[in-house]
Amino acid sequence: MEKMTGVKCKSCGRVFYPKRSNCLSCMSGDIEEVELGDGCKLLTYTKLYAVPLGVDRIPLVLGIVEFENGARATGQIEADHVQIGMQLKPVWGHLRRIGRMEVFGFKFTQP
Amino acid sequence: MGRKVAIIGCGMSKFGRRDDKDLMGLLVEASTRSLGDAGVGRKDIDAVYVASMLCGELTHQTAIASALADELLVLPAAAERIENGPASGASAVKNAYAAVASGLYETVLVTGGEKMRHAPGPIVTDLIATITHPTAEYVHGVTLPSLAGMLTRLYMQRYGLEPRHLALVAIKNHNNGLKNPYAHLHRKITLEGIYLEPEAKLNNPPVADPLRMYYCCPITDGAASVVITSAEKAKKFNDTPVTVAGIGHATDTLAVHEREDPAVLKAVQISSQRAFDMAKSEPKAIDVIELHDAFEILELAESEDAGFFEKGTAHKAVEEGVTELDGDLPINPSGGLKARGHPVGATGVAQIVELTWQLRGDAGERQVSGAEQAYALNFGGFGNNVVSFVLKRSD
Repeated sequence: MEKMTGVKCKSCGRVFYPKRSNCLSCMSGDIEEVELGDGCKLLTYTKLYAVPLGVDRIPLVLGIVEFENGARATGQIEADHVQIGMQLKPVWGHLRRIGRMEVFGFKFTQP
Repeated sequence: MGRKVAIIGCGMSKFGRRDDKDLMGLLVEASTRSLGDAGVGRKDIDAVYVASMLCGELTHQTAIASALADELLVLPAAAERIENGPASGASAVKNAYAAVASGLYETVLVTGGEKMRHAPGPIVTDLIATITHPTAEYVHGVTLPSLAGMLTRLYMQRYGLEPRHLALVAIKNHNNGLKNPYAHLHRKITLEGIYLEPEAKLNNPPVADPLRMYYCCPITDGAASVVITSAEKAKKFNDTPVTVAGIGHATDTLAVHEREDPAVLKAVQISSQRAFDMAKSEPKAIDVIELHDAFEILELAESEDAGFFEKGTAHKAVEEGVTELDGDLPINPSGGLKARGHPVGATGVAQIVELTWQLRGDAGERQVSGAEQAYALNFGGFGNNVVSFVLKRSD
């Protein structure tokens, strides 16, 4: 199964997502790819009714999650009762259409 | 810092749904007014800067500054289009400032405009969303309203903000817009109609919950224009030039979730501090403010991070009427993006137009009496590219 990955700075230890070639905190270029893990919690969210072209689901729930290693990510939330602080996990799935292309990526569901 | 720079002319097209004119027609309408207001001749214009984010995508015209120079017959003036997302307008004014301050040019025409209403909403929303992080935000369906919705929820959780406060900001800005003949929306709205009554949920449907329609700016056609020259030359053209005293410009991470605290607009803090430092001024010295309220949460958050209120307290100031036209610190006398409208490339220029009128005493019914110093903030990206100005009435 696909695992969601980010990068870890070998110099200061910060883990971040998406991948960058240098650390956002200490600028070191000594970084390695790491799995972000299965557990994250929801920091904030919105239910989007004015969806952009290429998204068919209304409302589309979007949120920012934080992993146990401190990395954060933005993505679609699929859960019954969405609330700040809830536990989520990344799963691979269909995200949207861009032009004629179907785009897939990680979204977040209840464990 | 080079020569002193002044604004000697300004003008706007009527903002709104402008089916009567194409984008070029709107740019000409605003430019003709600012050139006329400045009293400069065609030969005086050394350069034309046009701010537009989406002219290619929405109106099928690119390199639009060349076309405007031709249309206005200011040839052979230099011409270029400046695109910096929703902060395109302020970026164009800033670059005109730099060109004049350095001595490269003597007089520059800056015109910002956008024609958007003819395109379907989901297409416009999607085009504007392309300013977000391409792989970490955009592909997930993130739009600007969705980022504003997430910021609003953080504010509600952390600072006790209620949707009622967003309604109060919107009502204030609609009231101000009623006094602005150029504003898109001339409509009085009430707390009953958009918040309190049972029908309010129908009148004011959700856009990016907890943000509802009346807490977001409309999609608007329009253009705004200023003429900028050196302070020494300004006196020849205009008895009441306005000095560009300070400019600050700062960036932040493209993805909102990468910021140390996603509720803090760091580029607003830094751009504001830089503008105040350059102007040798401070927030307490400001009499009138134009902020980038594409969503009413932004008027609150920007007013805090720019230094006018403590973090998390702006909604209380709104409740006390501090930011009303007759309050201690009027914000968005023009009606802001909420009521004046938000033709994206025009907005940053329109803010400077409004503040120039305020400092000259030409703002009519919405005049803030005795305004001597003004502050503008144009918010690009979702806070990842922010331009601030401090303007002063010249003595």
